Amino acid sequence: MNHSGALIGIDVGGTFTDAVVIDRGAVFRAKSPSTYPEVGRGVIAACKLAAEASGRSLDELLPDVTRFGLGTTAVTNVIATRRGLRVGLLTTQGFEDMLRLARARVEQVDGWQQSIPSLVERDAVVGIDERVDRNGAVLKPLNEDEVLKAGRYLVDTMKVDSIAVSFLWSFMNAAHEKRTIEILRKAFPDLPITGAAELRPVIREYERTTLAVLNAYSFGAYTGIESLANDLKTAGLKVPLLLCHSGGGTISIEQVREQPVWLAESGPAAGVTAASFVATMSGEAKALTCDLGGTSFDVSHIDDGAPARIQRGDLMGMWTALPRVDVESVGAGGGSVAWIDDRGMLRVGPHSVGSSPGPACYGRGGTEPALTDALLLLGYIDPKKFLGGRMVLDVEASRAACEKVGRSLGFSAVETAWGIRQIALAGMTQAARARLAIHALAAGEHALVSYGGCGSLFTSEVAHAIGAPRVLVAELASVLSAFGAATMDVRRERVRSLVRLLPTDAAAIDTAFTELRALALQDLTRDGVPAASQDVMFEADMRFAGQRWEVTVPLPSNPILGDGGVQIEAAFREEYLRRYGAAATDSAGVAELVAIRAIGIGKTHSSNLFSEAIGTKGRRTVAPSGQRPVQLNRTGAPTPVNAYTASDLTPGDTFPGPALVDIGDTTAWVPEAMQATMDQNRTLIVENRS
Amino acid sequence: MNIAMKQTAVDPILAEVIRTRLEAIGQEAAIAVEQTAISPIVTESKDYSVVICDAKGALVLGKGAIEVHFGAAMHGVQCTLRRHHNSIVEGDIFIANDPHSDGGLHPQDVVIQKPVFVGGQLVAWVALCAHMMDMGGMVPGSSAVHATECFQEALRMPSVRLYRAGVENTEMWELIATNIRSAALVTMDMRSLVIGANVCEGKLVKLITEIGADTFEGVAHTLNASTERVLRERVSRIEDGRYRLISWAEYGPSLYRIPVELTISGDRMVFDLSEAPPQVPHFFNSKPYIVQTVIIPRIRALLASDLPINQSIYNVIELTTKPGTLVDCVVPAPIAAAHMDAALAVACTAVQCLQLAIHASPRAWGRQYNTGSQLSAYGTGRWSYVGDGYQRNVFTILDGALGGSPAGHDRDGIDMSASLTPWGVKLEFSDIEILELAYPIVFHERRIRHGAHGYGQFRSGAGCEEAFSAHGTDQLLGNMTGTRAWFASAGLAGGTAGGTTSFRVVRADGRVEDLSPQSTGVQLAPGDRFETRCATGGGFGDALDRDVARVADDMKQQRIDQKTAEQVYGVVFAADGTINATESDKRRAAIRADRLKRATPPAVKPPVVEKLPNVEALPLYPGVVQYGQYAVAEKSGAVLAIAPGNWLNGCPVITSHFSKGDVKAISRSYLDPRTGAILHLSLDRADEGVPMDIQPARWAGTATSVAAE
Repeated sequence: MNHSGALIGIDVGGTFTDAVVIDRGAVFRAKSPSTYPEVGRGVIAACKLAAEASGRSLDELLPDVTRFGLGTTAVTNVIATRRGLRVGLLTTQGFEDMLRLARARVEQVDGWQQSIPSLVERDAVVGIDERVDRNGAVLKPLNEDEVLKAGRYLVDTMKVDSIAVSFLWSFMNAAHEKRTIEILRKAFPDLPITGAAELRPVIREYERTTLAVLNAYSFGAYTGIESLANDLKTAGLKVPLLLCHSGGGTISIEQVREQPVWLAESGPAAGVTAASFVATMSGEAKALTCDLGGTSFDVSHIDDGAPARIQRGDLMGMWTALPRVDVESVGAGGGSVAWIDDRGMLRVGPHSVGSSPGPACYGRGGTEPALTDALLLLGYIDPKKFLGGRMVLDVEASRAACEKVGRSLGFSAVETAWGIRQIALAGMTQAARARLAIHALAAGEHALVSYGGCGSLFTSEVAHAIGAPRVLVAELASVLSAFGAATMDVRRERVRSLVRLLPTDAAAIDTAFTELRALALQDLTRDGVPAASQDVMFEADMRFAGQRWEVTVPLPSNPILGDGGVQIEAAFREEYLRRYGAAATDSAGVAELVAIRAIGIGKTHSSNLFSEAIGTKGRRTVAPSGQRPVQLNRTGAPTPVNAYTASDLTPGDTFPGPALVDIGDTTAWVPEAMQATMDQNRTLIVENRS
Repeated sequence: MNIAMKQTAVDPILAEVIRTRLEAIGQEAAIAVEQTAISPIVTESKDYSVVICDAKGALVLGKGAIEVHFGAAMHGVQCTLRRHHNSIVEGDIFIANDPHSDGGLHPQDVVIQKPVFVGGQLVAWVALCAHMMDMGGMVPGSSAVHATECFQEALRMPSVRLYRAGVENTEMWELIATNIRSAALVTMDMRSLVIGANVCEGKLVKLITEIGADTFEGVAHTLNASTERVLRERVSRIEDGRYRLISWAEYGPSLYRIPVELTISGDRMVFDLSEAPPQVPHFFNSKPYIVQTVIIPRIRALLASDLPINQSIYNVIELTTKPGTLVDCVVPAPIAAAHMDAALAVACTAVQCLQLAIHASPRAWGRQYNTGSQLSAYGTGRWSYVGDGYQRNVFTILDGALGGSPAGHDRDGIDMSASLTPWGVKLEFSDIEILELAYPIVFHERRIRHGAHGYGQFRSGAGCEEAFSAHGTDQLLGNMTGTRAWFASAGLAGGTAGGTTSFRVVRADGRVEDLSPQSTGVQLAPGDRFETRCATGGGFGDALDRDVARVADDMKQQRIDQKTAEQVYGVVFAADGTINATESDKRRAAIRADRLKRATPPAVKPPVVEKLPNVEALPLYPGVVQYGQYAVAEKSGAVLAIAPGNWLNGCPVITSHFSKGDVKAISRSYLDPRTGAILHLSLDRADEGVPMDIQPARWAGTATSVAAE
């Protein structure tokens, strides 16, 4: 057995802290209430429970731990609730309004248009007399006296707690930004200072600046974690505590201390990363991941075992250059409300009942029918087994709510519920189709990994509609984020904007490769990754000259040097042709290299944890544990459907649809044309009948 | 050719499920366009759109940031059907750009159309529109402000085939490429629309094959019929009557007067533009379908923001025009800004007529969206320079389209938006770094314009202000188009008019040259600085009613200085620079009293009324209500007029004349005779009488009707 020590993964949620211990090929889990603001107490409590479940005390286990990963929404919450530090911004004179202009984007609220709120007050933005042009040439030297004066004004008059510095073209020539930071650090040694180019040297000043501002805003959000790291060290943990970042990897506390913003989207990242692990365990290199939350259906995808990433996007209402796992929230969630619009059309969402009062069936005073009510009334959800039986649901309340909505259309309660499910299903299918289109993915090559809420009641039909071969539902779904934290690779990115037409001067590209590799390796070493586990991959962001958005092209780990980008261009053209077809490039468009990225990976070596622990067994058909009536058709009587309990199944067990399977905290639906099989990793595979 | 058309309603669940799938298809086509187009005007400013029509060219669904394209795309399909009816086959792809015939909001917008066949039957159409950087003609960028005929403006294409039965019509591509500048770039943008059309058509074929052509038609019919029913019901809740305002189109200092009269009669809504002047030898003549398609997204935001956009809204909103006029021109009228200038001014005024009608209708839907007139201003520049190999490269800076919105009845306007409600366009700035990377320019500043707001109890938003120079080229050559350089956008309910558009050049030696918004051949050498300042909408309510805390915040936000605060808002500052509220109240009272002293008496002496009738007060205009036959200032109770008189004539008036160039203008403050508060502040050409006329039938005492179609 390839024993690489124990792994611990933690997910600090709003209510519960989940812990997962993976030890000697088995997974143990525990939940404990989250404790705020000192999250460490809740973490230690959850760890103790999980350790005990594994048969050892935490003190015994900790020295054996080779990976301790933690996901936290601490930074996410600070940004979402707008409770960060008071930030001042220094930028190039003439462009002080950059944040207020917000690229002229507006939001729509109740039929009105509204400006995008800025995290920085206008009078806490100071323009500095300096200018660099597109080539990095200095047009106006930095006025250093102004920098100090501006710093004093921000600190003394505006009382800021944190300063961001972001000048035009600083990613081409960072000298002015660096010198400004030096002056500020010397004058205000205790003040956190964020430099935009240092944080992320990429083109587009607006999103580079918003990222710097968000970073400045989030300083201090993670203080509870620092003391936790010390406590764990004292208790015997020999490896550094690593934190899950938005890109689906981990970073050290030391880096987070200076750059907290990387954690902003760690929750969704951990979920998709864990889903990719589930897919990989079952031998799927490509997959769509589907997470049905309370308000939306969140879709991402996995290519070659790695979650898809984006380099920029909307972060809680703010457009910013945060690289992260690319999750799109679309369509309806479990709490989405059904209603009749003025045209007499049945609609689902976007309004959601939230957790209070919640769907009518929660019995907390809700009277509007949510998607969950429809599923309950139709028989897909067993009222006694919701959330693993922790909550008993009121079917009659669902019936009353559905009836009320359907009355004006002349629909019965059940017919209304059927319609609600159909419309929600259409929305989820649309989301999956859009995902395939945006990334030019072939449906037939992608399994669906389903987790969260009651998503598995839909995903088999989504898969069928889009032509995906199968759906994977992991028994671990309820602690997937903690599982992700335990298994996530260390992942550190270094990027260099080059912005030049190809072919170009070979030295510039070669230097970028060499230096980026060195930096990435240095990052990995600092994060405690042993040299043998270090790996560096490269990507290039490419486009045709004039295009807005780049296509990310994977490059070999050992790129050919000295060819001035010929190899990169070839890879780009091939990728472009694959995505858009031959018609897209009639004229000889000029290829432009925008940036090169090095990705340092510290492998967790977790992928071989399971394969030897549980052997593969042959399939055998098993009998159901019971039957439940489900309203499959719009009208008429419900159909008796076989019901299974995943914990009763052993690997290799298989059965045909129609069937319902209670698995973990959720239920999966197997339509008539499909069958389900429990695989060796206790993942349920739903696919077309063989 | 066999056209499938069966119009039976389908079940609402099925309709919603299929609508969702159609949305997905439109979205996939839009994604394909955005990912493959080249020019920032498509990819960054998202100046493109995708529509799905039924077999007869009626709109089923539109996608993309520019809703104003939808009508042009439909028009294109309908014209193609007429022109090519019997010869349309599977695999054809058509292109059109000529607004006089088959398509385009202006010649730079091309409409790519592809019929969708299932089982040999024509079952649907897809059409995609986008703005091209150049379509040929006498100036780079094809906005020829000095053109006197459409023949000078651009290559004109009626609906012609780019592909015939799936085979590329290479001769057409060659013809296009021969006649336009930056041909490599523009044809790649056109190809991105072809790709989008193919994606859309492919997915539609799959869907319609699955559900059947009858079901598809049924869904289209159901979506349209159910939306039209709601729209008509909402129109019928607006008080019958006539609502009239004047719009102005500018050409340099020449003003063209286009009255807009809205008649509401039952569930019909008709905009009468028949008093428009004859067509002009300038580039902003327009066509009814273009005016309609510019109006519709704006009206949708007021009346149907919760409804899907489809054919029904085009059915409900009717226009009356006269051929040969500025808004219904014929060849050879130049037409390069058919959707801007005059059409835009008319559209904003039409929407304002509707807003006033809605305000005067207590039962109307959408009364909460009560704002000043949407901003019809813009100011854009097309620049060119000689690149490698003598090629003249063209680029457009759209930032001048970003003015500040008018104020609303309960809120300040917002910056960088023509309206407080959505208006069918979602333009975004490109980052400075992206512009400087793509073009030989360097920016000195880009900020929100200081001052120049429409003031009032609620103020307008601010427009953009920016300056750049040539950098990396010896010379930039530019031509501008723009509006509202002479005449600002008026306020509502006593708010002041907004700021005007301006372009100017500060030469390297310090000379300042003010430019007309229609300038060509503007030369910039390195060191010369080109400046754009955007207009803003008007304010809402009397500025003296503005909360002093809001005035203080405007100063903190660096929108106004202390002098403006004192002069416009009548606030008094203490020695420490804070506002003294008590002294401000006193000063404001003194200003109101002084206004009444300076005012000329009402044109029509209001009736003396002992006691107002004991009836419900009905709204006439923000701040003015109707008690039975009397129009009364809402706050003071002062009687202004007896029905059917125009209440403006019952107000004391302060008149001021001013002129800019040859334009002589008049501003009138209509006062509450009891308090001196400004009830309405108008801005008109000096020879204009009382231009605003709000006549709900219950006030006018007449039933209105419009001729049956």
